[in-house]
Amino acid sequence: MQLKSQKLKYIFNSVVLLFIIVYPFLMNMSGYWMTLLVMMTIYGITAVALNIMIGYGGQISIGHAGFLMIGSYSVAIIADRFELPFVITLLLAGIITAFVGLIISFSAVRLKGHFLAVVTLGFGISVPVIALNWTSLTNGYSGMLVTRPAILSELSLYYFIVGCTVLFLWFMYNILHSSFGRAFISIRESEIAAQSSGINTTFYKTLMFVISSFFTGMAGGLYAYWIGFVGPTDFPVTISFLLLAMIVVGGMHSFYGPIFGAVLFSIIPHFTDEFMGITNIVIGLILVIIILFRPEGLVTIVDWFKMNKTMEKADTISKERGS
Amino acid sequence: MFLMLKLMDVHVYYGSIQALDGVSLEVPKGDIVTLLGANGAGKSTTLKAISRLVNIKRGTYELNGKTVNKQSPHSIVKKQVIHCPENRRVFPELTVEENLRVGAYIRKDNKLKQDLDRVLSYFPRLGERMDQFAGTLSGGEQQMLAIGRALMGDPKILLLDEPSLGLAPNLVREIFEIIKQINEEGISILLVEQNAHLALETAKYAYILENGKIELQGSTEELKENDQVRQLYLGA
Repeated sequence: MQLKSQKLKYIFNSVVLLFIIVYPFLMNMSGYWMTLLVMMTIYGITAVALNIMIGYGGQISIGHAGFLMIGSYSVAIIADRFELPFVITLLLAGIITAFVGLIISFSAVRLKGHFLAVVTLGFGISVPVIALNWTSLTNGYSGMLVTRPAILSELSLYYFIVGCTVLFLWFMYNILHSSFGRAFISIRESEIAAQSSGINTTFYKTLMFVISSFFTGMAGGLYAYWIGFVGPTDFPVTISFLLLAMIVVGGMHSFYGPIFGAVLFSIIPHFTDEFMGITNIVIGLILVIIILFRPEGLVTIVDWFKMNKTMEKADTISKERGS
Repeated sequence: MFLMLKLMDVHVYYGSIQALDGVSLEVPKGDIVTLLGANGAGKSTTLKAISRLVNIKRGTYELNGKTVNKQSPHSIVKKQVIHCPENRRVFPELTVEENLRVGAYIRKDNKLKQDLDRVLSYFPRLGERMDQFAGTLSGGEQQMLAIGRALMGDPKILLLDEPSLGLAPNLVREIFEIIKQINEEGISILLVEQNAHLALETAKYAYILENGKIELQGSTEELKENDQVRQLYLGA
């Protein structure tokens, strides 16, 4: 049974990957459709990174749009001023964002719940304002152009982003399934018990922030490369809430949940954007419906199939016994 | 290789409220020491002060003659003083095995397998439930898991906070038998307990706390005969 579901997962992953690889050709190289998928991957990385803190570590953050923005601006600024290979630029963007995450975490590890939410919210609000007003660095309201790395065509950049996404998700998966992951979960479940088991909660909370902001920053960098432009209105604070909604709708006690959420919420605007103001209503409705009927998120639909199967099995067994 | 734990005139505050008002106690090598007292007397706070989950405002806390007042909770765990907190507090969404592994988080040695086997020999029922989420265990099993998790940290001094809380009487007896066994293998135990009868039977030495102060102390033999104790805690 275990083996079978492993196999199914493997097949599912391969099909998805194959689809993503042939996708540009299916869509006739349309920039619009490729952008739609790239946004899914960027939000996918960010949602999973945010879920390290929220779903695994129990530390709320409503400031991840700020980290995305720092990542994207880092790429824009570094690419503009220094002639570095773009992979290094991307990595630097991650490191810069992680450093900002580290600074934020100094105050955040001392706070819990709502207070932490307010601090991160304040951070998320202030980043766009700083980007707007620090004109000498960010070019203010007019934003910055990011030249695509010369060695990459649009198609190969697309593949590069997909490759990065797989790589980042793989990294985060392994971090969460190592002893780090257990430490994060134990902090979420009971901070006192975690402390009395000898877990240095301050250190691990800081680590959560740093890891999460590192990957978010790189996702922001990928965004900058793909769109070719960064501006102070790219990641307003509403994006932070959208990311939160992705996690909740996808399922925050699962690694894959946030990816489901990211895919869903990236597709929805495609269908609703022609009607003014409908997008948020639809997102809100989905959020309410999910919280009411599948509080553990969309990802539990997979378990639901499994459960139906075990129940069927129980039924057949009881029938065989003639009861 | 026993550890010696000593509190001298320890004061603890929650905000402006005083919880401990000059507590002095000792856990000698290899003994079971119990801490009795009414609700709110400061028993759990004393344990929290020892595991450094709360700040010690005044007084000294020594392990083997070294002052450790300012050490962090995880470094106290490293010194093999391990707190098994009140209300069990297992990690409900980790499996039994993962819970036990978290208990050994800070250790770098390779005796883990051996210790896991030892814990499972105390609590065979945990062995049957290794892959189950801890949240699905019964209250008694969760208590066993909490003690097992603390043992995985390879304690020299084990701080037990109300291991009998909310358990059926026969389970309580079972757990206390195991506590005695653990002690016989050379682990000192500081036991906080509501059930004064049982605590006085199990321990060698007892402290009685009232309003954050040690009111009485002595060997359990003596205290069982003490009129005040009989009236207040043994109901006789």
